[in-house]
Amino acid sequence: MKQLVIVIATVFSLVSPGPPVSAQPTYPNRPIEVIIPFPPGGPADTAARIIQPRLSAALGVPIVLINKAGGGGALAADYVAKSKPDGYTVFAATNAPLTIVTATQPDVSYRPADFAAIGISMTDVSVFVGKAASPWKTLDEFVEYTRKNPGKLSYGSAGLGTVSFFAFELFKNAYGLDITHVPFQGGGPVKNAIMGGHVTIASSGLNSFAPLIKSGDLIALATSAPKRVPAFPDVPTLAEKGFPDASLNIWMALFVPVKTPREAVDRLSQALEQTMKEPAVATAVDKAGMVVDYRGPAATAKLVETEYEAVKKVATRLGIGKK
Amino acid sequence: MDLALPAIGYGFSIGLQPLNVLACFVGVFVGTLIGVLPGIGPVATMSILFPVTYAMTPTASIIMMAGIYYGAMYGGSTTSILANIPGEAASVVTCLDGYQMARQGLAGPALGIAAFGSFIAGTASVLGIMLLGPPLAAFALRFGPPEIFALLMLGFTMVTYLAGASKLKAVAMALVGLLLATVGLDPMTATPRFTYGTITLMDGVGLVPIIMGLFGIAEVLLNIERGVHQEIFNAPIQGLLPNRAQWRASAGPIARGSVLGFVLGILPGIGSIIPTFLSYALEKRIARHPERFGHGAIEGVAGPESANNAATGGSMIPLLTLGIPPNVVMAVLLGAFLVHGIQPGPLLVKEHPEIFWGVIASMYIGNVMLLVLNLPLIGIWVQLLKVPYRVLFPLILLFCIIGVYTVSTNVWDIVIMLAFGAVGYLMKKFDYEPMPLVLAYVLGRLAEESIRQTLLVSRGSAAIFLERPIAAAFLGTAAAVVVLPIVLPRVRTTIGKLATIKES
Repeated sequence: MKQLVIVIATVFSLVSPGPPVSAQPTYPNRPIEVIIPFPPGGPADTAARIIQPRLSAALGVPIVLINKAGGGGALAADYVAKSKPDGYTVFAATNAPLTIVTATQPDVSYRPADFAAIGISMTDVSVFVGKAASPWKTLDEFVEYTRKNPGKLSYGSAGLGTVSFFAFELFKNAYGLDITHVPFQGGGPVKNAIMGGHVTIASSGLNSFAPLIKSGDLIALATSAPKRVPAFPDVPTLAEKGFPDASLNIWMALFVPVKTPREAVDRLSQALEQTMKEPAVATAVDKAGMVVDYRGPAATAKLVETEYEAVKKVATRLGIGKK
Repeated sequence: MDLALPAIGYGFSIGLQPLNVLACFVGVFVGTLIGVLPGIGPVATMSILFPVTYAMTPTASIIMMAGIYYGAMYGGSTTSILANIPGEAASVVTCLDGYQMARQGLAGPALGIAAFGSFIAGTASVLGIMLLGPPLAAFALRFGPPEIFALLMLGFTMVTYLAGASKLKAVAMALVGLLLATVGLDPMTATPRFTYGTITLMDGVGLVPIIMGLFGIAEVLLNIERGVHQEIFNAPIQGLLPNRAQWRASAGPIARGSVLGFVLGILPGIGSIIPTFLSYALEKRIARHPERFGHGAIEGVAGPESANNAATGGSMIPLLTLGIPPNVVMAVLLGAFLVHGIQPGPLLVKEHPEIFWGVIASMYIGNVMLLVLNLPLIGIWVQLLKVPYRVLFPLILLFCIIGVYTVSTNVWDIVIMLAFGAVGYLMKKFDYEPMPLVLAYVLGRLAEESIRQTLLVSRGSAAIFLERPIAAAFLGTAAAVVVLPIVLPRVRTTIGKLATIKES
């Protein structure tokens, strides 16, 4: 078995533009399991599959992807937190299990501190959309309209424990708007609700709404991207409107159990950084409707910390989750 | 869609490319197989095969994934009929009459009508997508939370049609189903309900473990105590294909099941299970001899099996024309689009006609393949009844366990399934029907969500249900279904009395 692994590893490093075999440190020397906390097809899964071949080449060992869905990602988080901290079990996490479940379900079996960050690879930016036939066409017009009709409007999110909900709540809070929240179970039902006019506005990842914005059925009011998204140059960002702190996006990142040796963490983050510089990876990320947004271990850990606090604050204010 | 004719010709030129034909065949073959195996359903299979599609063209991968879905609907009826164990959640209802038919030696015709019904409904729904797709998708958008809730209320009135001997027991089981539906995170406040601090129960009790436990495991347990003698043997096997009289009885159910399944499949959140229940209830309601249902009525197989196939076609419409996945299976299919950098939506026909028309054409091809594949299999399946139970049932147990585990890779789901197996065994012993429980569970989760969404939008006013015409119509029908059977006989007696008085 070990020989087979070495053979596979050698084949991979031969076809890869990565460092030569002789430069390989002792870690890694066998396949790495990457645990995806959601079923295949979602942004977390897509992200992991985009980086898998290049990351594998950079590390010189095969990478096995395992989907372990459940509990808003908590099932997978619990599994990784309890796994052997040897660098061979990696968590392909998003915000949901790391900052949202932990902030809203305080007695869940793991904490953000149970994980060491490898780095963020890409983000699916949040976008707020309305029907093309709405009486407002821009963010400013919408804000004005909402102020004139306090409490009469509603917005749809992909569910209570989702980024789409917290992103809109942060936006609402920044502008001091009164809009009723209507949670749906996932991105699909939100699309139905906004297209059918059952809610006034919808909050979601840009990835899933892009076709309906391009077709002119929906108008995008704002994104919470750090800078304007190239595919939609006319859509302003919340940051440029003066609310950089109100920005919350779905990020895809890698984590390992916190007790993993420093050497393995460094090796993994170096491989991730190298992967995200590949032009082929950038093209694939772009095609999937996401944005390359590499951040190293320190920046990722910092983001987890600030985001956890922000989410916790919104959750406490609105009485979300475990009382 | 005046362009439909040349466009579908173009679609066939894509769908008949060797690689796409192969993808279609692999899809429907795998679909039939996992449909037959209890436990493993289309969602789990599509998820497992998902990575394979990365290496394929987008068209071929969508063709294959769609094939798995409608293929599973063909195969799902097999174990329902042969062993009283649904091969697939959408074939639960088929157990009721399909299994009884098999016990009377009519396994062949039951399997046959399920295959033909599936073929007719499948083909009709593809025609429906082609000719009515975009207008129907626009219509489905009018179904917001209030409409869905009202439709579900109509669904709840069907509980009594699934009752066995006792209506009271049926209602009791429905209440248990409703209670089960409340387990998990509250959809509006994320407060954990009945989770006892476990992560497994945060998502609620899974539908697959419930069904596989109540039907699969319970059936295995019951057969342990029955010992080695195999009762199905006693009746001689009569014919492998439906005869003329059986066809005549099934024509109406197939037609109604097709329309019902197709229309309901388009609606958000309905999926392919609810249409089968409604189709069964409808057939029982309008039947001249409703007492035959539950004792091997072929209508009770033909209707639901057509409905679940038509629903697969219907559910493709919102996905292909608007990019809205109306159910979980379509969400996986949406993922298959996205990994190839293609986003289904209003622009799909224009930007990727090869996918849109290729997939539609492949569904015609796939349905023909399935019929050709399934008819010869009937002979083999019927022979399966001769496999000794001591061999067959351990295998079923194994497949149930593997199936439930692959859905979530969570060992606790197996424990839940086994627990429901024990409960299901006791229910059978005390004559409680599992069917109303399953229906109420499926409807309950959606109903809670939709009524709370509705009241959020309306700011707590229930008047919204009467202000929205579609919702009001459904609620009115639901009320009529409940009240009329009580009131009508009395009215008739009164009129009769009046008439007698007049005459005298």
